[in-house]
Order: sequence, then C-alpha cells, then structure tokens
Amino acid sequence: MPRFLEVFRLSGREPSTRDDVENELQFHLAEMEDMLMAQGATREVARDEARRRLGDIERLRKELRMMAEDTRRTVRRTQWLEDVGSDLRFAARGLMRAPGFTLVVVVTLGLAIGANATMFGVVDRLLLRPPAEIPYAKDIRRVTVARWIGEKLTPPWDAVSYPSFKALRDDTRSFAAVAAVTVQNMSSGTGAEARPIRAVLATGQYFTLLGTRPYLGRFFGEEDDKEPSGSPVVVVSHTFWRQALGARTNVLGETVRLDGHPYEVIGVAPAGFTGTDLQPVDLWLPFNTAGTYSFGSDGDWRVNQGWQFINIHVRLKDGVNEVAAATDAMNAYQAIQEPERTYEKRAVPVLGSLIAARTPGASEGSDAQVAAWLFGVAAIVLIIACANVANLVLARGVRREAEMAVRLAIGGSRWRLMRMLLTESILLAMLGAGVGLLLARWGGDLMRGVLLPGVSFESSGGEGRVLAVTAIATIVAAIVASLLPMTRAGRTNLSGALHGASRQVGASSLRLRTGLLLVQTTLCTALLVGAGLFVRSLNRISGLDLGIDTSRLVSIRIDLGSAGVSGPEQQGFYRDAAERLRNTPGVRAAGAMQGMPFGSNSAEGIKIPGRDSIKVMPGGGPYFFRVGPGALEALGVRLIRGRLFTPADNAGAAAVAVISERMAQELWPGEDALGKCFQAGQDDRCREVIGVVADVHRQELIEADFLLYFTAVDQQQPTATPSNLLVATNGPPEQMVEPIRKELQALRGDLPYVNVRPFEEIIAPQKRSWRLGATMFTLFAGLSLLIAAVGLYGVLSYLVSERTRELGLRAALGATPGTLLEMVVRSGIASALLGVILGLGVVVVVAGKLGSLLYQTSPRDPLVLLAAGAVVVVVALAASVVPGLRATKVDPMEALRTE
Amino acid sequence: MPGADLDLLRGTLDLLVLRAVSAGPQHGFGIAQWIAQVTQDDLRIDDGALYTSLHRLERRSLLKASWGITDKNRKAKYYQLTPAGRHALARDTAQWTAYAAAMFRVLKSQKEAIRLLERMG
Repeated sequence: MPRFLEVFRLSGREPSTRDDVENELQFHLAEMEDMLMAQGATREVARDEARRRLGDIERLRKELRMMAEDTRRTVRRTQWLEDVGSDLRFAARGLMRAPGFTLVVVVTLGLAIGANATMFGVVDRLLLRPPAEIPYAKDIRRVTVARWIGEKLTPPWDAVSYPSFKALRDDTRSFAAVAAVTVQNMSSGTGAEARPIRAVLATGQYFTLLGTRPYLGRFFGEEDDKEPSGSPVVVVSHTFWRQALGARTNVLGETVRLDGHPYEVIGVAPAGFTGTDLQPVDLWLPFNTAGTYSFGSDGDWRVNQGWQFINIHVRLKDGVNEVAAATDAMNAYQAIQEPERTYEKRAVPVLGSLIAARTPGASEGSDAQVAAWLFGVAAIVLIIACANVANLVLARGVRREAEMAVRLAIGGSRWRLMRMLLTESILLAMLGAGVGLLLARWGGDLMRGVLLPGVSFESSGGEGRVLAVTAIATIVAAIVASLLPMTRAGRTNLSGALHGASRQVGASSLRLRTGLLLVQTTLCTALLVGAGLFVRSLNRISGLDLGIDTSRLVSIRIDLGSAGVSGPEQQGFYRDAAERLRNTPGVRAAGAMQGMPFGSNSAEGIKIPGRDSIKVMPGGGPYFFRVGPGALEALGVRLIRGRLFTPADNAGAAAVAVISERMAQELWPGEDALGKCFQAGQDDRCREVIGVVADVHRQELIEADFLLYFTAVDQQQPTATPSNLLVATNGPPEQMVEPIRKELQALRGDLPYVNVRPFEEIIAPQKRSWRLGATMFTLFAGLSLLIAAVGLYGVLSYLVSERTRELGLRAALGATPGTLLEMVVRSGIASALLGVILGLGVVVVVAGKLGSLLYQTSPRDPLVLLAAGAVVVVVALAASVVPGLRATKVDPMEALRTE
Repeated sequence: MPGADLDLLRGTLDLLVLRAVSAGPQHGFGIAQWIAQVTQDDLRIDDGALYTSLHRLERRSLLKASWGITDKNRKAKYYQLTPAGRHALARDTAQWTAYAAAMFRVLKSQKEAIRLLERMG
C-alpha cells in the first residue's frame, strides 16, 4: 500500500487542472515504460509503445482537462454549500443560546418588514399595477376631458356624455377599440329577498378592448349592445358566480332578474377581474339593454349632451403615437358638440393611464399619494429597525469580543468571522421576514378592510411582487444590520480583548451605538410630526360644519323608477313611508326629498324681479333640493331666521323657499332676506323666502361657495318625485338600519332592495385619505418610537454596566443615588434632544411636499412639532429611568473589587 | 473491442473500473494492470478510454481522487470509491448479472426461441 501524503494541498494553493491531468498522464507513461522495459523492450520502443497505447494523446488531454474542470466546479459548489450549511447551523445554535436577543431582533425586523410588505401591496395595487386580468392594459387609456371656462382650463374630469362617446368610437382612426362604462346600483329580487347589486353597464367593445378571456361561456359584444335596447344578457363576476349562483358550471342560459327585468347568464368573468376599476363588481350588462331601464326608455340619454355620466376607455392601435391619438380624439370630440356649449366646443380629451390613481381627474389619486408616502414611511421604519438590530448585534458583539478574539487567535480568518456574523444576520432577517409576511397577511387584510374598503385586492400576480420586495427588504436589513458590527469584527483587538481590557474597544463601540441611536430618534421625531399633521387634518375635516347633523342621520334609497313604479305611485309611497317612519320607535324625524346632500343635486337659474342678473359663484349653482315634510328637520339644518316648511305649504298655498345663509348674504346683503322673493327656472311664481338656514354642504367636504335653496316638493309644478328618504334617529343610526328596512318592506311587499345607510358611511370615502394617513402614520410612528426606546434602553444599560467601576467610585466618594440617576437620565435625554432637533430640522426641509395632502394644517404646525418633540423626550426619559435606577444600586465595594 | 457496442462497452468499462478500486485506493496504471490480469487480456481496454472513464466517474462523484506517492517514489493520482460509488457498484453488478444471465439463457436455447417465433408468426 502506498503512503498517502497530501502533497499539493500542503502548498496551500490548488494546482491547475492542466497540471493535474499532465502529471497523471506522465505517471502513467513512466510506469508503462518501466513495465515494457522490464519485459525486454528498449527505452525508445517502450516510450513509443506506451504512448501508442494511450491513443490520440492530444485529444485525451483535452477531454480529461474539460472533465477535470467540471469536477472541480462541482466540488467547489458542494464545498460552499457545506460551508454555508455549517455557518447556518452555527448561527442557529448561537441564536438559540440567546433567546431574548433573538426574539427582540426577530420581532423588530418582523414588524418593519411586515409594514413594508403591507404598504408595498397597497402602493402596488393602487399605483403600480393595472387592474387584474387585463391583457392589453399597456395600450389602454382612460379618457378624461378638460374644459375651458373663460380663459381657464379646468382640471380634467372623467364623465362624458353618450354622444361624445359615440363620436370617439365612430369618428376616430387611432383606436383599436373604444368602450364606455357606468356603474349602476341595482337590485335583485323583491321584498325581504332583495339584494343590492353593483352592476357595470358596458358598451359592446368593452371586453375586446380589455382582451380578457371569460372563465365560463362568453362575454357580450357589439351584437348584444345594439341600439335601442340591446339583448338581455349578463356576464357575472367570479365572486357573484360563487356566492349567488353556487359556483355551478351549468349556469349558462339561466335567468337573473335585476330590478325586475330578466337577463340571461352568458358568461362568468375570471377570478379577480373587476373591469377597469378596482372596486368589486357583481355583474356586467350591455349598456343599451340596461340603460333603457335605468336611464329611461325615451333614449334621451343617448342624444342629450348635457347628461354626462359615462367613463370612456380606448385602446391604441399598434404603432399609433400618443399625440396623434389625442389629436384625433380631440377633433372627433369637438366636432359633435353643440355650439351653445362653448366650454365643450374647445374641450380637450386627455388620454391617461388605465391605472386610475395615475390619471388626472379620476378617483383614488389622493389615496394612492398617501399610500406612496406611507410606503416611504415604512421604509424609514425599516431603517430604524435596522439601526436597532445593528445596535443589539453590537452589544452582543461586545459581550462576544473575547470569543471572537479566541477564534482569531487559534487561526480563524477574519473573513470567516465576518461571514459568520453575516450568516447570523441573514438568519435573523429571514426569521424576521417570516414574521413580517405573516403580519402583512393578517394585518394587511385588516388594514385594507378598514381603511381601503371598496378596493379589490383579490387578484393574482401581486403576491410575487410583494414577496420580491420583502426579499429585497430582508437582504438590505441583513446587510445593514451586520455591516457595522462586521467592521468591528474586522478590527477586533486581539491582545486587548484577550486580556479583558474591553474599555477602549467599548468606547468606540459606544460612539457608534450613540450615533445609531441618534439616527433613530431623528427619524422617529420626523414620523411623529407626520402622524401629528395627519391627525390634525383628520380632526379639522371631521370637525367641519356641514350644516346638517350627520351623527344621527340615516339615508334610504329605493330605486322604484327602474322597477317600473309610476311617478304618482312613487309620490304616494314616499308620503306613506315618511309617515310610517315618523311613527317608528327610535325615529326623531323623517321626510322624503329629491336629491340629497352628498348625494345627487340639481342646479337651476334664478331671477329676482328688478335685477338683471345674479352673481356667479365660484362653486357654481344656484343649486336646490326639493324637500317633503319633515326632511329638513331630519337633516338637522340650523334655522337662523324665519321658519321651515309646514304641511300647510302645499300645492294650494303661496310658493315659498328656504335659503342658505350664503344666498341671503349674497343676494340681499345688509338686508333681511325674509319676505323677499325670487323666481326659479321656468316657474313664473315668485317664491317668498320664509326661512334662512346655516350653509349646507352640497356634495363634498371641501367645496367653493355657492347659492343653495330648498323648495317644498308638494309645491312643484309639474309634481316632483322624491328620490331619498332621510331619518333622524334617537340612538346610534347603525342600530336603526334593519328596523327601518323592515318597516318599509312591511309597507309594500314588492320593493326592490332598500338601501339604508348611516349618513357617516356616505361621507367616509371623502375622509379616507386623511384617515389612512392619520392611522398608518400614527401606527408606524408608534412602532418606530417603541423600537427606538428599546434601543435607548439598551445603550444606557450597556453604559451603566460598562461604568460600574466609575459609578461605584462616585458612590464611594459620596455621590447620592439622586446624582447617579440624574447622570444616566441626563445622557439619555441629551441624545434624545439632539435627535429631536435634527428630526425637526428634517421635517422643516421635507414638510412642504406633504402640504397638498393636509387639510388646513401647516406642514410646520408649531403645536405638532412641539408635541412630537415632547413625546420623544418623554419616551427617552422613560427608557432611561430603569438603567438610571440600576446605576443607583451599584455597590461601591463590589465595583471596586472587580478592579 | 473497437467501435460497435460503444454504449455497452462504456457501461461495462465503468463497472469494471468501480470494481477495480473496490478493494482500496488505486492509480490509473494499477487499475489497467488489474483489469488486464483478471480478464487475462480477454477484454483489451484502451488506456485512453480507461482515463476517460476514471474522470467521468470522478465527475459523477462515484470516485474521489487524491494525490499520493507510490512505492517507487512517484507522484500518482489515486482513486477510491465514494459511498455513492460503492452503492452504484452494488446496483450495477446486480443489474449486469441479471442481464448476462438472461442473455445466456436466451442464447443457449436459441432453437426453442425460433420455434416460439414461428408459432406466433
């Protein structure tokens, strides 16, 4: 048996595979020659014969070399994997030995990574990704229209008339498809069985425009949407199919009754598909079919250019340039506008992104902006968390300094040591990512449900992107958290550490840790200011005087018209309904009205005898609501002068009106408006002003000044039909929703869906972006504050334990516990104060950009700045007290003995 | 045995090589000698093919190689079985034995086989 010696390995460098192969062949040739010569051949013959027997030696060399290269690569890879495996095992063992440290780090990183994953999910849905299941998303444009009023171009608005849609569809050449949609709230079934349906009415090219493929059956096309009344077919959403149709595959051909009209089910949309908007949709109907029932069989909506209620989408033809397409659209749009609509004649259609939040004039813009800010905030939380983890790792590193030194002393390489640290951080970050993803899953659902209702997050494709972002956040966290401790590992002072003299090492580490702490408090302060600003905005917006009392108000809407109930019959129903509700327990007042604040409203010109014109207000108008008996009382309007309507103000009595305070001041400044009169629209009667009420908001929380008046529905000629019932409740309005619905269903058995909503629910979407900002900013700021507090606590505790000797000496020399406590707490507060000052500096620089998202709140609101600073200082104080108290308990004898 | 049954040969050669090192680490030349001895030169193996086989087996992690010094004080590359190689040797030996036995049976009873075919045809 040969002796084995790892000849080449000892030289420390691997020989090249070329040498390896060469040596092996040379050995073979040498042995063969020896053998042949032993059999009697001459040296020359032996040499030739040995070579001959190897065959084509050049080819063999090449072949062997290639295989050897391959083998070496495989070996290296296996070796590397083994190393990583052993590093991981080592790191895992180390972490299990320090469960407290591991728990704090994993939870900290988990919260931060979870926050990032959640916010990215929201930003991705609102701002980055088009609605689900739309293959042609890239080429689809949302059309909004900007109009000229005087010399001013208005912001674009996404509602246009049906004739304008037809012009874009028929008179342009740039588009592969043009489609219009409008949302219609419908009802399936009657009486107690009635259910609300969110339907989208779409024109014939809608589905070909999107390129979506049905899950079952087919989508409707142009042949189903022919004027005047299309064909009665319906495409249901995947969710509707599952929930209302029992997910049966044989539903095609069945009938669904909507607002009392039958539609044949021809297809099921794929899961997650919500059309061109993000709100969930129950079903899609051909525009002309459902439009005939919903907008009137006279077809006025098809020709009337004043009826602007539909949204247009276009798909660009291949290779058509955007500018040319926009010009094409503009020419077609302007050509068909009636000359008297001067603002439309020069209107400019704008082709915006399919992603609504990116299109000017479409919804969700401010939500998306706030979400984008919050994503940034989540990233800051992650930075704070990383700083904290780095801090904890450093603290652990100091404790492990001796261990490290020993490892170095016995020949461990510094690189290997760093790799161990990095492995440990990656392991921690991965555990954190796991926690984070769980949080993002549970917390995210909760957050989206509460703060972003009505946005469908159910769809494919988003998860992968969220995971990718989480992975990036994790890697960044691991690297950042281990980078600083790693540079320290690289510099470990061998002899110093081995001799237990960690004082010097500790000092530079402490500087680093104080620096990290400063970063944390700075960012924390900035986040707290952001939270404060949003909370203040939300408070201001919630405290707005809307002119009505929304806290105890319920709105009821029943679409009797689409169900085919005649006008006079509807009027009778509303009268009876109001009467019945007034006698229902828990109801304070009830009444019917045409239109509703924050609902629909109408405008009509007015004339005052003896005046040429009425002042034009920035908010437009004058607007009016026609109210039935009890409606103003139910709304809770505040009477300033005169009286409200009484049942005596009926068709036979003199025409009267109640006007807003603004209208009284604008039309009769300095005079008493009571007893004055004005004519409205085509009505010849001069309506006497009998009351003045505080200004009532028309449809938005923030709106420009306008004139508003109320008339009695009974005095209208021709008779007006109410559209809403309003009820003021004694208790919380949520509790009255079901009793009210039951009362109305008892009054008439065949009602379509009775939509009863607490009024606050109707206003809530308008407060959404502020609520989103206030809640999430506060949550994130609180989170980072907690993390920073842990960091401060850690640093101070370390400081106290490092200075045990000094503190003991001081105590021995007569320092009172109070002095010692003060010493520690003061250093904590000092670093917090510096952070606060820097943080406020950051805010002053950055805050301007936040201004547009706030409401009547300066981004440099001194109260908010002060409060944020105070919170940080108080938390710092709390975090310093425990280490401070520990300092007072240092036993002088004990401390001196360790020296 | 040139040309014809290359696939068979390659599989056979690999198996032979595995068997050759099963007793303990051995270098290429030694393996060649061992094969020549046990087959009594019935199977003449091209030396080049042997080295290709050795490297192929090393690449497949069936063999592990290391450098050592021979009795004559020469540096040589020694091959030995890895656990995977030991496993492959056992498996292939069993397969080969079964295969050879089957072939043997068929070839021995060739006449019966022809009769069988005629009856079916």
